[in-house]
Parts: sequence; structure tokens; C-alpha cells
Amino acid sequence: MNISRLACTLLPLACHALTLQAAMYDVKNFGAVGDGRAIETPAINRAIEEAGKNGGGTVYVPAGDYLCYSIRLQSHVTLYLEQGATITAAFPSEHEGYDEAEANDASPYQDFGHSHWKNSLIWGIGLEDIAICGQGAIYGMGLTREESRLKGVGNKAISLKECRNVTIRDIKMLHCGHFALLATGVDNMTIDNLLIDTNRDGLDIDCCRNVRISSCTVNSPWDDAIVLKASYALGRFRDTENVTITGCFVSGYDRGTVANGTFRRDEPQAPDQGFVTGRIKFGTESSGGFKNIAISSCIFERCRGLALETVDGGHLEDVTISNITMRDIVNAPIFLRLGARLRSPKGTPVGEMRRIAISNVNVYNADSRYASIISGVPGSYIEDVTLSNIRISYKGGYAKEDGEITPPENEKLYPEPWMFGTIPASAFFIRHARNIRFHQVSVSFMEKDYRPAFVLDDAPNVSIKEVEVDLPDGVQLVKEIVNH
Amino acid sequence: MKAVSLSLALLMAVLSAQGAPFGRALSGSREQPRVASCDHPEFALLLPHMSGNLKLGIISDNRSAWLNNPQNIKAASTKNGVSYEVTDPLLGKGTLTLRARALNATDGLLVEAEALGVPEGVKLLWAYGGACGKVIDAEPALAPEYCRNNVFSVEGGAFTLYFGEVMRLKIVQGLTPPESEICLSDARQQSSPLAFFQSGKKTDAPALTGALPLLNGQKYYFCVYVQSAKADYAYYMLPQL
Repeated sequence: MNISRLACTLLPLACHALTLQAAMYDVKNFGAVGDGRAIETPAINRAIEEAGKNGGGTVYVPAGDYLCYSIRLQSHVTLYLEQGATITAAFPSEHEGYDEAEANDASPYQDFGHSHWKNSLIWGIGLEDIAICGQGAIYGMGLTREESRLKGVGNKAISLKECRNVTIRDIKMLHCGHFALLATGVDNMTIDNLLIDTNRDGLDIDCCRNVRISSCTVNSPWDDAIVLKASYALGRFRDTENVTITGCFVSGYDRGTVANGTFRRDEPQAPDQGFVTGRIKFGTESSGGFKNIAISSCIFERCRGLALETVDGGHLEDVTISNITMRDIVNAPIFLRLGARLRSPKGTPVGEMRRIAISNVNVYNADSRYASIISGVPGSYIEDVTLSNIRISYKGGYAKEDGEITPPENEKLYPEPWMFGTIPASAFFIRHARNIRFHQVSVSFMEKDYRPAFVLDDAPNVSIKEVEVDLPDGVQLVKEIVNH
Repeated sequence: MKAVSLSLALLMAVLSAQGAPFGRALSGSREQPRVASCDHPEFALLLPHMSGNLKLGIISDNRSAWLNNPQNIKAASTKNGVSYEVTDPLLGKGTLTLRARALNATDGLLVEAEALGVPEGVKLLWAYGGACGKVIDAEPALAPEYCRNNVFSVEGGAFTLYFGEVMRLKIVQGLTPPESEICLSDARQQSSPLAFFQSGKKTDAPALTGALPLLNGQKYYFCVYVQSAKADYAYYMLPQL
């Protein structure tokens, strides 16, 4: 091989190596230190800007503790957190803080947290082909879960608006403020293998299309773990659709104790006084709809039950939920609510909830006060729901007189099982719902419960087949309320 | 003129209520104070429902004392509140001065603490809790029976206390020095500040305690208040409040 031939062979390899080298942007080359003391945001943002300017690449965050305010993502850039790297949210000071919450004319229709994106630790708006991954961590120490509107306050760990082709993979997220992730109007998103242990919501998927959530652990005792929403934050109606949630564990252990492996149960109460949260939920923001959604092979522990809610006019339809097991559930293990809160532009009609299949669900040690609830509002029915192969072990313990209660309608109220007070059924309360099928449902009680098992009120065409309920003598299996 | 009358009325109320537990009204009336204090530095928010009690102590190594010994405390009414000069064997020859007053823009309390001549290593302990959310006839102490279901969200030196019941939730905000080491504690174990601070969170009566090094000449602030659009505070704002 002569020299020219050797050069011809090696030069492309060298160029390729240089290209690979050039595509990695180590934040330490841009001035980051990783000592947990200096504010590193300018250095990290410079690395992201450089990568973006060069057509994209990977911004590499090596082991270290990087104290930051708002990190601004750019298209075609991956933020890679190496094992041992932590991006820590700094507390705002008098002179420094997170990017200001941008103006949003649609803010009256959803909570403050949902209406702004820039007041976050990491944010991206209108981007494509972005990723946050690696074995490192995001620690939202200086983010708030509360309601301060002061300039410089940040309240979300990762916030994305109107992006597409997004991957978030492998990272740990701790103590993340109002949201670990708020994704609004994002298309084509993969969220995989995250460990989230936080002090308010975990994953909020709002007005998003084509989303894969898999193999995530989300501990969020003080709010929902994985929650699908369809707010009006974009200033228009947009559904959340084509979503799968699979292989996830959601829980309400004491904050931080799943991530540190101690799994403590010393703190039973959540700020809303309804006991620990940590569930998978649809809603509450539901101006748009929820369509074509499959949830499978998920585990709930020490948390609230599965909640499907549409109360702001959205259509919730074509949903399957299968192979779920739950233990130590502090409220209704299954809660379906079509409500009329209608926090949407004036004139928005009540939504719809239909074509829902819930199957292969096992629940152990569920609180009995609210039993399970399927409830629309007068004139608006939940329709075409199938519950099959369901086994629920309730705590029980309610009296015959509780079976005479007529729960208030509370059509406009924020949806939670507590809105109805004690429920007159021990297993399922079904009101303003039709074409509901129960098949192979088994219900037992740790303590005898003297309420009827199924109470039907304004519930035509309910089929209850192959149902086993551990009833005390003289207690009705099905009570149908007439002359409503 | 109106403001002067109001200040005089408040001063009269503070003066005339000396001696009775929580008899010093920093806001509201003497009969129905909204922010009440004692002849020692202990405070309660009564809105009118019981919204919490702030009490203070000092720690030196493995010894500690609540700031409630009348022999060691001189209380005096000021133009807009009350001040306390505290001496204690744990403070050596030093003094701890506390100045407290109600907030103007909202229901709330502001306390400024400053030590002079205090030995190195002394810590100031603060405790907040007992927000039962009901109007009570008894003394608004940090009593364990008032603490059930109090939920504290701690963010640095700030906390938010949630209490009451579902659909009738009540909230107060707290700001304490950022150097506070804060932990959930058991209000059933208040025999000493140290015992309270080290009691752990496994309890049906949760309260919040914090300890911070007491450096001479440095001013420390404590603020508990009801947040609103007009009253939204961070610690760095407290000296100017």
C-alpha cells in the first residue's frame, strides 16, 4: 500500500471520527464546572446553541452537579446526562431566576402551571427532533409546586410546547415542582424507562398525539403520576390521542422514598386532604378530548385509583385498559366521570364518554367509602363501557343506612370521588350511564358491608353477568333506583 | 389621621392585653385577634380558624430551651407590634432580640431575630404547626390535637401548610431563613426543642421544625401569611416588608 492509497483509506475515517467528535458538545468545554455551586445555565445554553447552529448534535453533560435556571432546548439537539450527572434547579434569587412565564390569552381556561412553558428548568417551544436521555438525573430542588407568581420562579422540570419527534429516556427526575414533564401539543413522543419521584404531577401529556409511555416508575404522593390532559392552553381545542401507557408503576409512597429505595409510608395525607394521589388519570383539564388510548400492564400501589374524567367538554372515547393490578388504594379504584365543569370557551357543550373497555383488573385493599363510580350528569350519559374479569377486594365496613344515601349531582364540581360523599353502593355506583356491561366481576370485603353491591340510578341497559359478590344476608346484589 | 387612630388603637390593645396567654393582638381586636402573641415569643394565626402556632427555642450542643421562661424575657410593645429581649444560660452573656408585627397587605406575621454576644455554636429552633382549621376556644398552642392531617410542602426555607378538609382546603405560607435545616417532626414530643427537632415524622401529629446557626449581628426573618395577588413573598423581600 503506498502513501497515497493509505491516505485515501485513512482520511475518510479521520474525517468521520472528527465528525463524530464535532457532534458531541461537552458542556465543560463551554465553561460548565459541575461543582453544584456556580450557576451553569449560560454554559449549557451556549453548548446547546452551538449544537443547534451546526445542524444538531449531542450536548454531553458529564458527571457532576450543575446548578441551573432555564435551559433552552433547540431542534435536532440531544441533551445527554451521563451517569453521575445531575442538573439541579437553583432557587431563584432577588437578581436571578427562571425565564419569565410568557403571555397566554388562553390562561383563564386551565391552571397557571398549564398555561406557560418558559418558566421551567428545561423548556422547548416549536422544536423538532429533540431528546433528553442518559443515566443522569434532574433534581428540581429550586422549583416550586406552589402558586407563587413572582418573577423568576420556575415550576416545571421539563416543559415542551408544540414540538414533534421527542424522546425522553432513562433519566431520573426528583422533586420536580408542579410537573416533572409538561408536554403540550407534542406529536410523536417516546417516554421510556424514567424513574420519577416527585412532589406534584409526574408526566402530564396535554393535547399530544402519538405518544408511547413505557417502563416508567412514577411516585407522586401529592398529585397524579401519569395524567393525560386536553387543556385549552394552546388557545384551541386539541385532543390527546393515540397514546399507549404500558409497563409502568405508579405509587404514592412518601416523597423521595421510591428513588432512595426505602418505600416509606409515614405520610398518609396529600395537600388536598384526600390522601396520597399517585395514580393514572385522564383529566382534569379536558376541553379537548381523549381518543384511541391503550393502557396495559401497569401497577398501582398505595395511591388513588384509576380515574377517567372529562368535565370541560371533551370527548373521551375508544379507550382500553387491561392487565392492571392495584394494592392499597385510598379512594375509588375505578372512577369514570362525565361532568359539566366546562372550564372552556363560552358555549362549549358537555362532552361525551363512550366505548371504554376495562379488563383483567385486580384490586386489593381498596377504601370503600366511594366504592367504584361510573357517573355522568343528568341528560349526558356515559355509554358503552365494558368491565370484564375484574376482581376487587374492598375494605368494606359500611352500614345499611349508608345504602340509602342519595349522592349530590355536583355537576360543575372539580371531579374527585369525594364530590359525591359516601356512596350508597358497596361495589359500583352507576348513574346517568347506559349500555354498561359487567362480566366476570368478583367483589369481596375485608369487613362486612351492608350497602347494595350495585346501585343503578338513571342507568338503562346495564348488564351484570357472572358476578360474584361476598354479600351479607339480606343485602341486595343490585338496587335500581326508580322514579328518579 | 385614620392610620394614626388605628395605630393607637392597636397599641392600646397590645398594652392592655399584657400578661394573658396570646393576649397581645398584633392584628384584629383584643377579643378576636387574628395574629396573637404572648409575653414570650410565641405566636398564633387565628383567621379566625386556628391556622398555626410559631414557637421558638435555642439549642446548644445537646441542651436546648424553649423561649418561654418569663424570668429570661422582657417583652415590650412597639409602635406596630411587640419586641422581646431574651437572655438564657444557653446564650451565655448574649441576648437574642425579636421584633414581631402583623403584615399590612394580608393576614400574616413577620418576626425579625438578631443575636448579640451569643457563644458560637448556638442554634435557633423554630416550630410551626397546629393548624386545625377550626375556631377554638382553648389556647392556640402548638398542640398535637390540632396537628392531624397538616401537610407541609417544604421548598428550601419556605413552606406551604395545607389543612382543613377536602373541598374546603385552607393554606398558609411560611418563609424562614434559607439556612434552616427543616424536618417534619412529631408534635407529641415537645419536651424540649431538641427532642421536638429530632422526633421524626412517624406521627399522627405532624409539625414542622427548623434549626439554624445563630450568628451574632445577622438578622433572621420568619413570616407566615395568607398568599394573595397582593401578598406573594420570597425571603429576600422580608427586610423591606
